[in-house]
Amino acid sequence: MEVDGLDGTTDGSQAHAMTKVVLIEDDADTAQDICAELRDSGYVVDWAADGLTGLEMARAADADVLVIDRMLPGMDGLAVIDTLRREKIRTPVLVLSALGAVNDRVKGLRAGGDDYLSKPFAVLELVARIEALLRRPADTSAKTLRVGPLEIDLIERSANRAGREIELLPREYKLLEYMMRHCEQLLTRAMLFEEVWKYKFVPDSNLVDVHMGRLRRKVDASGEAAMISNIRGEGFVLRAPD
Amino acid sequence: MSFARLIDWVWNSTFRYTVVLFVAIAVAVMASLIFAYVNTSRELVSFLDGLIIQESDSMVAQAKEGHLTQYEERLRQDPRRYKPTGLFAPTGERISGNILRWPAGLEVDQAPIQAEIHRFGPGWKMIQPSRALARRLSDGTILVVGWSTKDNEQTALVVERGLIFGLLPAFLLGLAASLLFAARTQRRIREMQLRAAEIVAGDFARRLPTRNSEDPLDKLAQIVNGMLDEIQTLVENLAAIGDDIAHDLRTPLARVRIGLERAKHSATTPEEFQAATDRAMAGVDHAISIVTALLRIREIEQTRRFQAFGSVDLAELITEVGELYEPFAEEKKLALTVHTDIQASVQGDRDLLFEAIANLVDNAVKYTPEGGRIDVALASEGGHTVIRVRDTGPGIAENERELLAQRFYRSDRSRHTKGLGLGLTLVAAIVKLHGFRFEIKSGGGFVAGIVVPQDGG
Repeated sequence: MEVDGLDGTTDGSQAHAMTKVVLIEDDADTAQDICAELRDSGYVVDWAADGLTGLEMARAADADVLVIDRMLPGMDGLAVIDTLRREKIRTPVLVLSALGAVNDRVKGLRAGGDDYLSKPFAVLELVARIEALLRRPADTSAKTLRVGPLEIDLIERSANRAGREIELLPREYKLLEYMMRHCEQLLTRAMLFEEVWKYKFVPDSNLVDVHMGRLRRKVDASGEAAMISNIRGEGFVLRAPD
Repeated sequence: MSFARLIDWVWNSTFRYTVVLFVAIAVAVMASLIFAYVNTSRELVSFLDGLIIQESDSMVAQAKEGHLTQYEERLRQDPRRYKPTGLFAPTGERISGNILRWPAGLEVDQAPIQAEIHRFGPGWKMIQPSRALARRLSDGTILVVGWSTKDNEQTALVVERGLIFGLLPAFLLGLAASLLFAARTQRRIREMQLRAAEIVAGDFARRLPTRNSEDPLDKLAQIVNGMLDEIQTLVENLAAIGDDIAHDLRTPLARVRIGLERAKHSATTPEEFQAATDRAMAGVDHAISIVTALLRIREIEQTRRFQAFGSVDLAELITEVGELYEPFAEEKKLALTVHTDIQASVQGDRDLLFEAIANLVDNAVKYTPEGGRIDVALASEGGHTVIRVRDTGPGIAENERELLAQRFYRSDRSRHTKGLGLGLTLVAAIVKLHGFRFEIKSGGGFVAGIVVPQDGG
């Protein structure tokens, strides 16, 4: 692997032994569930129930990712993010909110959040997004991306698997590029739709699955080991064959 | 502040305000009258002084020449009794003229002074306040020349009368007006208080009384009414959202509950429980998606028009929707074709229009049986630009269409239409936001159209 996952991440529970998440969430039940799930995934989690405490925790600087609820007692979530960004603290932030409207999403991202997830969400979706935030900035100067036998040329926008040329439509290419930049990660349908298609709404039909199906048939030709796998009900993962 | 105290406050303050205003005006009027009086009388005095100095000068000159023509003239020609004139011996005894005795305080060959002059004529006597001057003549006798300051007093009288007959009625009038005004204000505040109480009690249709005038209280009432309108709309919207959500969530939640209940009683293996939780989660997800869709519709309905509007190329837009759904249609063995007979641009929110058309195509793909066709077309019909999504599915019953049409066209809010999914409601909301027209027809299948009126581009 040349780009992402240089730490050789293969299994969540070992990979994040030192990864710390600071969760700022005022609802104790929700926080408890999220903490438990994140700890199961191998993260160290600190929880703050209000904005000010959370801000202190976030400033303590050993956090790798912040998960911040928008509506908080004491200090609003967006204000916390704004304060951190003013203090040049660039820890990636995932904004949580009960407000799911598009405008709120835009506001959350504009305030300095890196991703936005509206409640109610599947905990898996949350973990997948945290994962994606931790793996962020990929090497943007690279001309090619490689995952196992699969390689794409970022300039020519072409792909091949172990020398076998793969014909891709522009949309399929974009999808594949995104997956290669986030290989070994669970990518949920919503994430793909937001990031690859850049649409502001999530259609209720299984559009993503259909597009993914097409891509998969091209990437994993018959007789080849499967690289794209569909984690039932959760999303998709691209990984090098064993 | 309670209403009773508010009334007290307005009453008192109105009254105080009027009194203060009145006193200020009174002081100003008095000051200007007094100023006018003082100025006028000073002018008059110096004018009279000049006059008597001049007269006495020429009389003194005449006396040197040995005659008193002008003195006698002055005595004779005083029909209005303005000019006290007299000759006195150096000792102060009267020699001739109409002045009875030497005026108190008058000194010889000094500047004119104000003096009380005792005058007399045939059959009358009077004390006349005058400017007076005494000059020694060449023969040693003393000439006294005066000029009544009666005009001056008249001015003072005018001022005095002005104050009495002008200010007093003005004060009474002002007092009456302020009492009237305060009473009126109080009455209006009482009215407002009653209306406000009704509104607080839950009658949101009530408004504070207004008279469409420019007075501050009326302005305030109008502002409050504007706020009430806004609040009423919000409350109604919230209530509507609540109704919609409650209505739409009952079914999936009931299903989830039954499923879980059954699993609790009859599931025995972990696999059976797993299957039950999966079904329950799917049900909850469905419920969540309904809430999301309803909120989205509400959000679109409340979006300010033109906020994110720009020029949108419709041909490009429907081609992109086609690309997005083509694999999906193919999966279902449907032929999805996009026709762009014309090029057209409209002013609109590209993301929302995309969402609307995607929704129509999504519906078509979902409801059209295998082997069917879906046509997405951009065409010009009767001068209007129309985006039409046509499928070969079961279409829609006539009566249902009527119902849909009514909801979409007549109602202010594009209410959720039961049984047809939230997709069409969403489309209707987006179309409405743009000022376009949403049509639903049946022509072999379901035919949905977004009509851009001629002036809508």
